[in-house]
Amino acid sequence: METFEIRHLNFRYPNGEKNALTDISMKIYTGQITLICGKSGSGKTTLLHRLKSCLAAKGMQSGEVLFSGMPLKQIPYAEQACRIGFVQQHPDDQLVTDKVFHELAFGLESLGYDQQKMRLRTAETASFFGISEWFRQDVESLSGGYKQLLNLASVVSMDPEVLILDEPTSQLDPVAATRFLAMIRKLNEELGLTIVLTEHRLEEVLGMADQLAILDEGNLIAFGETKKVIAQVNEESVLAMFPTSVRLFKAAGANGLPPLTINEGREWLKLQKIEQQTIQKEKCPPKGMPFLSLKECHFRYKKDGPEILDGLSIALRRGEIYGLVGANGSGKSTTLGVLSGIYQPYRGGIYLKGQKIKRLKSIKYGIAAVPQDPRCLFVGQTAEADLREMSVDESKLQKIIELLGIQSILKRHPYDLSGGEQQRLAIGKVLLANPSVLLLDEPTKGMDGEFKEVFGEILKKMTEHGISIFLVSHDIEFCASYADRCGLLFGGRIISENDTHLFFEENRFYTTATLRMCRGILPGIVNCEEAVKCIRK
Amino acid sequence: MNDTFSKLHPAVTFFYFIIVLLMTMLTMHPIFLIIGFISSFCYCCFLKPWQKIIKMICWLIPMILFLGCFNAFFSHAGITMLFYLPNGNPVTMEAFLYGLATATMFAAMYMWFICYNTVMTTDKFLYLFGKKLPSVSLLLSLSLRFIPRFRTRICQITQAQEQIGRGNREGNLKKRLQCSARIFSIAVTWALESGIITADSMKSRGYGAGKRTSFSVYHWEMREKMLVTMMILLLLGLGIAVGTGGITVKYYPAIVFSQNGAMICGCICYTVFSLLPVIINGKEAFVWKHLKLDT
Amino acid sequence: MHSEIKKRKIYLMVLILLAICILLMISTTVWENRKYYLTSFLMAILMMVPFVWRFEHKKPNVRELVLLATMIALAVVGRAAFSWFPQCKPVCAIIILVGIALNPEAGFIAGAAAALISNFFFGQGPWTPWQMLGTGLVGFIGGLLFNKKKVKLFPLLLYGFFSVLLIYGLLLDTASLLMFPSEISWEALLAMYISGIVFNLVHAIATVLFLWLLKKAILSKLDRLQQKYELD
Repeated sequence: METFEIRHLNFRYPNGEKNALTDISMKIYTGQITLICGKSGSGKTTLLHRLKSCLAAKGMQSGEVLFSGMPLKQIPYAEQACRIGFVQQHPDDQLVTDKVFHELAFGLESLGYDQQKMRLRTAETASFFGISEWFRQDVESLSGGYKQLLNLASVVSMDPEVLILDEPTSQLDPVAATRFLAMIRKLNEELGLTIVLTEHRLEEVLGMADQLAILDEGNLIAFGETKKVIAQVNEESVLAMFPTSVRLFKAAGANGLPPLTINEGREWLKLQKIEQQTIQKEKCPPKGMPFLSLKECHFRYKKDGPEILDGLSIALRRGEIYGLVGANGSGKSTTLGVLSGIYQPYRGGIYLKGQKIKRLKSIKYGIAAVPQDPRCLFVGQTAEADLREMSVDESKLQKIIELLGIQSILKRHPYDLSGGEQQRLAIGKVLLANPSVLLLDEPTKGMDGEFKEVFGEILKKMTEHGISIFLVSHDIEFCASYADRCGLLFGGRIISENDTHLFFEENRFYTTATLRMCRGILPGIVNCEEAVKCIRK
Repeated sequence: MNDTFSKLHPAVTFFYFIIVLLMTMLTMHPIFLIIGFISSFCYCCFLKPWQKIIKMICWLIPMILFLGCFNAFFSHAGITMLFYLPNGNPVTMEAFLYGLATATMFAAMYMWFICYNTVMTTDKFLYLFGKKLPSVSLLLSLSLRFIPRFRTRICQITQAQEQIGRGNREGNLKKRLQCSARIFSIAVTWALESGIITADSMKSRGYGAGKRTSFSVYHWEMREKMLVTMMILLLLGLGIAVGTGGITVKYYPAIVFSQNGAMICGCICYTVFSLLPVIINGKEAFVWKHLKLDT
Repeated sequence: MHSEIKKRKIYLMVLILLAICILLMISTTVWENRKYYLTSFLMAILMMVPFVWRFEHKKPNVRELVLLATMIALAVVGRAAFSWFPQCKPVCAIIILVGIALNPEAGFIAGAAAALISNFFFGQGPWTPWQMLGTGLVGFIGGLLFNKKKVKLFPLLLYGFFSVLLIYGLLLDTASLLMFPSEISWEALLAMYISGIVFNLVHAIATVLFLWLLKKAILSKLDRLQQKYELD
């Protein structure tokens, strides 16, 4: 049975020049997980919003959307609210009330449920999600991952038949994302909920999706059973979003059903006959005097608080990209705070160009941090105005616009840009302050695969201008592809540090998917591009 | 502090505080004032850590004395002269005591409000008005949700701006003001834009679909019923006492206050009423002590 | 639109009459000692009733509600951006701008709610209803006086100064006199106003400053958002 049936759906925004969605027809079956993927701007969100009338933006629509055999438009608002659950991208912005229990009950209150029924539903939901411990807490006391779980729970408490999730994990760290996806899977398996979700981090979701739809510029380019769809697809740009196992499989030109997980990928890889290749090392990362370094820094937030940085030593050389990885709570953000001068270590030294300094004052010493949320920097009505308020030097402005490739977005409002574009604009603003060190906090959060490549190249170009880049990230794949050196932070100190290649080769778990897949089969391979080269030969 | 009284249904708690505050405000009868003062102090001691209590005493007592003297120096009514001021005005016992009485009342009010602020948390307050005023209470709930978020947000923006040399912590006054306004302006844009998502999330969960009900985590049990009955009985007793002149008091020209049976009846009712939280907590402590002995 | 304003005026009149009746009735009969304070306290609460009632019956739509809550929260935490600037709160300035940009009632509700909520953090007291009424009226009258399409800076600053000095300041000074345990007389009232004048002046000047700093930031953004989402 179909939960949703979309028939020849076209949609255009009121001020749009072309269709945001073009002739989309698909059937979403009851009890299945349907994954919709595509680059950012491909119309994923627009499509999902079409599936719930109250969220559907105004515009020209043709074709129709049927929900359980009925045209969606004919289903009353209250019924849609109850039967179609929708979770959006930003965990924080979706929470409406200040207490967890109130949030869980919000939808039920809106629909006018009586007290007894609300108590039962909230209690059931809280137990199912394992969140009963913080039933009475303030929502603000939860971490981002749990906030998103609460968003999901407060939708599920209304007992929907279908859950629509719009990039629900893009703002979460990997651990929280895994937990969230596990919950989705549980809801699907134990309650039989139909699930429609979009994602750009496909490593984990691909394995659980029954159906896969690929969107590109508003067109549905492939739709059907996950493995079959992947087997059909051959476009390079589309393949870039898929996980390593699929990309290797495709690169080898293999036929049949592709492996979706690391484990399946290993099985497949073992059967291939590959000659041992020696990979040429890329150009050596710059050596020399560190530009900015910390020596045995100790830091804690309060006198009686726990030690956050416990003898941290780190050195950043001129013109290199340093990637700092580590789990939550290992002190990554604090390290950034110390490097940017927000926090002052109570013991240990800070050295700038080899000279010990007392206190870092970020911009005076040529150090600039791009905040995790680029929106902290935007003041203007257009991107251009935002850049111009930083500098009046026209030639410098043009140089930076060109370097970042943001010519096309200059006239738009900063808030109307996609996450990746916002990140680039923010970097542009910061670069106009003439820094020689750029500190980046989770820069790839919310970026899709293709955008990451563009972004990585921009970072490389910046290093050619002599700028050193220090990035803190959960995105191991990105660090492996673009960083010159990497360090693993644990318990407030660097546990291991090396040139990127060697660094990831040594690690057993905290390493790239490619390496985990190729370990023991293709030694010395760290990132996907290398493996692809190897297999092509 | 594990306060049983705070765990009661908010309606009971709110009713209690209204009555206690009204009584404190309305009577100037010295015995009633002392009862109010002592019971509010007892409950305060129960709710707050001792360091805070000591701090509180340290400024309450001098304030009471000061207000007593203040009134004595400026009001010269009354018949019992104590001494004459250099300017020839008399200082009277009545004026001093009147000042003392009003100060005691002030102190009791202050302490009741401390208790109120500890016990009536925002969610209880919102619950009370949620049923009758769903839109207002949702508005307050939304605002309460936004406040901590905006606060951290403003901190983040301030830090980010400092990083590009637009911080509000240095420079001349004009620059600091402008940078602060910039920070605020960024926060406004961000808040308004993210509000769109909040609104979507509300719509998506059926806001406005029909008549809203109000969820509560509070329960109306036997205990609440008994307490309310008891409170009403005590109030009746108190009402009778007031009606029969149990709380009349006059400070000028001479201090005259009722000292009849009605007063005693009123006093007893008032004491029990205002000590209710302490009594309930005491009973609880007693029960626990025995439970421990039994096991 | 015209009948709307008429309606508002009728509301205001009725509620003031009502409150005065009750004040006279009760204070002459029942209470002896604290009559002034208690009656005026209740009066302050009464005056808010029509606004709350209207807000409740208008069934605000989602965006309006979120917008209002956003502005309330910003008014309460706005100080964080100016934390280095001693003793000055931007609440009144923001509330005036809300009253102008949305509508007078929204201004009142936002003002009252902002006062109530900030007291959740700093502690409720007998002053709460007064502050709510004071801030609410500042927003309400601001909304009545100015047309959001053409707000001139100078009159706005002038209004900001005098509304805080005369409406908010005098109201709260009167209230604190009533709260203060002493006899009520015209002299005492005058003394209270004079002793409060410095504080009120600082508050009024700060409000002018904040209005000047924030006028463009808030009005243009609210306007853009309203256009974007066809509020009102």
